[in-house]
Amino acid sequence: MNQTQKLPNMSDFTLQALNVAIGSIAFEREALMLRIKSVSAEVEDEEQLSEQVLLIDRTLSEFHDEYDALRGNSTTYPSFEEVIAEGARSARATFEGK
Amino acid sequence: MPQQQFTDDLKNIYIAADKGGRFFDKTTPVVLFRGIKRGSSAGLMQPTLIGFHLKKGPRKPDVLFRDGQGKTPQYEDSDINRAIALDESGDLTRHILANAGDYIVQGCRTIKGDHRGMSLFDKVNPALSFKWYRIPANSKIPPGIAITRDADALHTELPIHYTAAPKDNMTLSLFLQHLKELAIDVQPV
Repeated sequence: MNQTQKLPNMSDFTLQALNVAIGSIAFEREALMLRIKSVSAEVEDEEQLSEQVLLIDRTLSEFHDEYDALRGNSTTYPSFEEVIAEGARSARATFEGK
Repeated sequence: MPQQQFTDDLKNIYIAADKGGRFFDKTTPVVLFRGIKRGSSAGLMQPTLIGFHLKKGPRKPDVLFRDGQGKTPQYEDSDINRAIALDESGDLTRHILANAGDYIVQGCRTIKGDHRGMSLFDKVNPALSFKWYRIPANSKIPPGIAITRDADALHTELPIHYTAAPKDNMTLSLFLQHLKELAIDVQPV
């Protein structure tokens, strides 16, 4: 490491971890939404896909504040909405090839 | 029987955390939506009393309640650090509802985490297998309940989660009654 390069502080690590977690949850949410569209009501019911989405929405509401608070006015990391959109885009690319 | 008086303890927790703008106990701040699983026999404003398992882990009960001996039927061995109790037959839930006056719901004392109350959202997700109901903005909030917005953001693309939280300890029957009163002007979507 270049001696003049600053080591990231703990909040950078936390923000990075949260960024990854939120992106991953958004990916999972979109994957669930795609599955809901493609399976029968019986399968949806059996796998409780809708309940999983609601639980994710509750979790994301709580993460939103944490992320914004750590990110502050920094432009190094994308906004919460951008992280969500990227997670969803990534899920669509994975499962639909879009 | 004298009416129960409710404290500002939960409100003060929000104020202390500089989140006072997310606490409501007079009228609902926005249109709120409640989804109920299609085909479910549960009442619209019935919180999840007994948890269940989802693929990723347990869906814990919405609120924690205990009987006169301080025991909760919601967790194995009445220990909230152990596994959630399950109720595939629905018998346990029916028993709890039939004896709701014997259980004391724990008042909400946090701004995030488990057992805070019943979920509401500021928008519907029509793709889900839920029937959605609309609680108008400015609906009167019954005295034992607070509505909390669980994010600072006022508008996002995804639904914002709100909680109908018990303000203080009260009987489960009173909490359920107040939840029903909250939905007095509810309309199907």
